[in-house]
Amino acid sequence: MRGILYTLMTYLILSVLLAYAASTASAFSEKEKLISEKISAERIFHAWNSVGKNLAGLLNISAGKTDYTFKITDTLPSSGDTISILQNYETFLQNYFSDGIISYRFEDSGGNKISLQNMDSKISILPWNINYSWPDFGKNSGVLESNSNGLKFLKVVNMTMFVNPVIRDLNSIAWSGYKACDQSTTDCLIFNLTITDGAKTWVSNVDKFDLKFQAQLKVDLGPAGGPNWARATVGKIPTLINLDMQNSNITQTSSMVFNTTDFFINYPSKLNVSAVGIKKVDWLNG
Amino acid sequence: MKAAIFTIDAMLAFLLASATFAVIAQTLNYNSPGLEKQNIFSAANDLLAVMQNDGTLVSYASQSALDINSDLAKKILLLPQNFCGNLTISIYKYQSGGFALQKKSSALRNCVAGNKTVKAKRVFYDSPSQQYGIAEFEVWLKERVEAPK
Repeated sequence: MRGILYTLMTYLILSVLLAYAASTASAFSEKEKLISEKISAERIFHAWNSVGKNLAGLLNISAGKTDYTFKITDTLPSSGDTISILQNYETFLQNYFSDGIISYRFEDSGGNKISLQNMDSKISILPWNINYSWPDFGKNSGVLESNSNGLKFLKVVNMTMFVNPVIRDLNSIAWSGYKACDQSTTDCLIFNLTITDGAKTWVSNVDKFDLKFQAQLKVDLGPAGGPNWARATVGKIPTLINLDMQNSNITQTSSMVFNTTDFFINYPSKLNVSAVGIKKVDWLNG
Repeated sequence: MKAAIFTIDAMLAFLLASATFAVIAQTLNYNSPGLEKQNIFSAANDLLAVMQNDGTLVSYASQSALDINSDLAKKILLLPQNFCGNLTISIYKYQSGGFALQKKSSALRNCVAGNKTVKAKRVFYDSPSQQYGIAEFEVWLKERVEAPK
């Protein structure tokens, strides 16, 4: 009788221990699976981040947001063959960065695969769709555009244009067609412009542009009689500022100050980085 | 006689239970290989992410291989004491239809090699020189060496 009792008790203990062992093994296996998924997610995140970080450099711009301000530096026209640079970047990723575990593809808004050099040549400030764009990656002009709604969030644009060759005559620089904002103005741009060649500097003495009208200034550059000039045009809405030039270079640095910090910068391509069972697809951003 | 059989049976069951308990105890003390891998993977990625975000990787494009080597040697010392690693920078330029290696630098913090290595990678591009680069960081844990008794 005592033997039966001992046996039953021992079997009871054994059953409890076995159940505990099974539960521990299951929890351990679950934990390992979770860690493995976390490593995959981390791998994807870092890969996405690394590939996306280079886009500004590839476009030869410097762009970034700090609190209320979006700052961009850009050189017109493009000093290199941007299309080839973008193409080579994709090839480089395939040849040297892909490791067989993670795959990369650039996508349009519909999720279709695109080549990086075929993305639109613009940067967007969202949610207002304020665009800084070029006709193509040759960058023969640079245009800042916004509708009236986006303009309401833009407090001021401070721009410095560094021109090359040198300014021919500081005294000849003047706005034409400038109309200052008044009480009847619906779309007003506060725009501070400075033009310099490193030695001579011109600072605009007007800054409130009524965007129903078009104001323009042309700066002759280099020796007298030469075909070199740079031009800034303000208005009409949706064009805020348009920069173009002939036989010259413009390096412009603009600080756009908004009345909110709730905005972000997107490049016109999504980046899809994926591995088995996990992926990150998002707009490339600055 | 019957009691003896039951007792032997109970003892056998007890032995079996003890063995199971020993296995559980071992499992509880067991270091998760996944967790170790995650720790070293995070350390490797974090170092490379900092190097990319603060512009260090791009700055290597305009430095000599010797200068890069010396900087990498300093960077690798930032790893915790029980980590070993091999940090490599390769910089290429696209020319004549292909990528030509311009320079390759590396720093090794060598210690007893473990068998659980992980590799983190970053890609970078230097706009002025139009050079493309890869940073690779292979990291592993220093083997635990038992102290002599």
